[in-house]
Amino acid sequence: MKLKTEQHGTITVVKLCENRLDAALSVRFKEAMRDIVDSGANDIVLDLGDVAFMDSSGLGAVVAVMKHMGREKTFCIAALTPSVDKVFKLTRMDNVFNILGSPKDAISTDIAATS
Amino acid sequence: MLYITDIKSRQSAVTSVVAEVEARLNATNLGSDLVGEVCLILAEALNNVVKHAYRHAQDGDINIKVSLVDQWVTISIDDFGPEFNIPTAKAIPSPDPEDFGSLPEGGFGWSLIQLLTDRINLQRVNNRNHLELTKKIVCPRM
Repeated sequence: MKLKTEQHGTITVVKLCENRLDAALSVRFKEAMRDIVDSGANDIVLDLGDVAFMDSSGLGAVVAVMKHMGREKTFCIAALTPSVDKVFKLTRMDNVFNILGSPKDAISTDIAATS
Repeated sequence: MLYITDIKSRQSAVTSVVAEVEARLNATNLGSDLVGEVCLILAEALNNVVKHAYRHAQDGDINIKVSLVDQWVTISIDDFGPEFNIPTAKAIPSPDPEDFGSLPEGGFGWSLIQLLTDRINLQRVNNRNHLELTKKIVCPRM
C-alpha cells in the first residue's frame, strides 16, 4: 500500500495512492494512518482522488481514523470519486465528515487564515 | 453468463474477483454508476462470506456466478459455511456528529446490499448457502 504525505504549513495532506480501499487493504490502511497521526500530524487532509472503489470495510477504516484523531485534531477527506462519494451518502456518513472538493481547498483556506 | 469462478475465502481473492467483474461490466454499456453499484453489492456479499460464513478461515470454498441477461444483473454466491439468515432490512440511522465515540465502523454490509438490489433470495441447499442477488438495470439512453 502506498501513502504519500506532503506538509503544507500545519496541514498534512495524505494521498492514498491506491485504486481500491476494500477489506483486503482496510486494516493496513488504518494502521498506517494511525502511525501518521501518532507521529504528530494534527491537521490531516486525506486525498482519496485515486480511489475508484471503496467498500464498507474501507469506509469503516476511514471512520476509525477520524475517531482516533479525536475532537481536538482536524480531519478532512478530499477529492472523492463518484462511487466513493456514493458509499458515504448511502451510509449517511457524509453528515459527519468534512468533505472537500480538493486538498487545495484546505491549504488555501489555511494560508488565507494565517496571512 | 458474464463471469463464473471459484475462489477460496481470502480477502485478496475477493479483490481480484471484484476487479475482474468490474472490467467485464465496463466492456458492456452499463455505465460507470451501475458498474460501481454492482461491484459494491458483490464485494459486500463476498466480504460477508469471508467474515461470517468462514470466520476468516482461508480455505473455504466460494462459487461465484455473475450474469447479465436482458435488464437484469444476477450475482449468485454459494458457500459451505453454517446456515444463516439475512438480517431484517432496516434503514441506516443518521449518525450523530456530536457523539464521536459511537460512530459505527462497520455493520453496513447488508444494509448496502438491501439498498442497492431489487431481489434477494437465500436458500439452504444440502450443505450450502445459495444466495442470489438481482439488480434491475436501467441503461443510460444512447
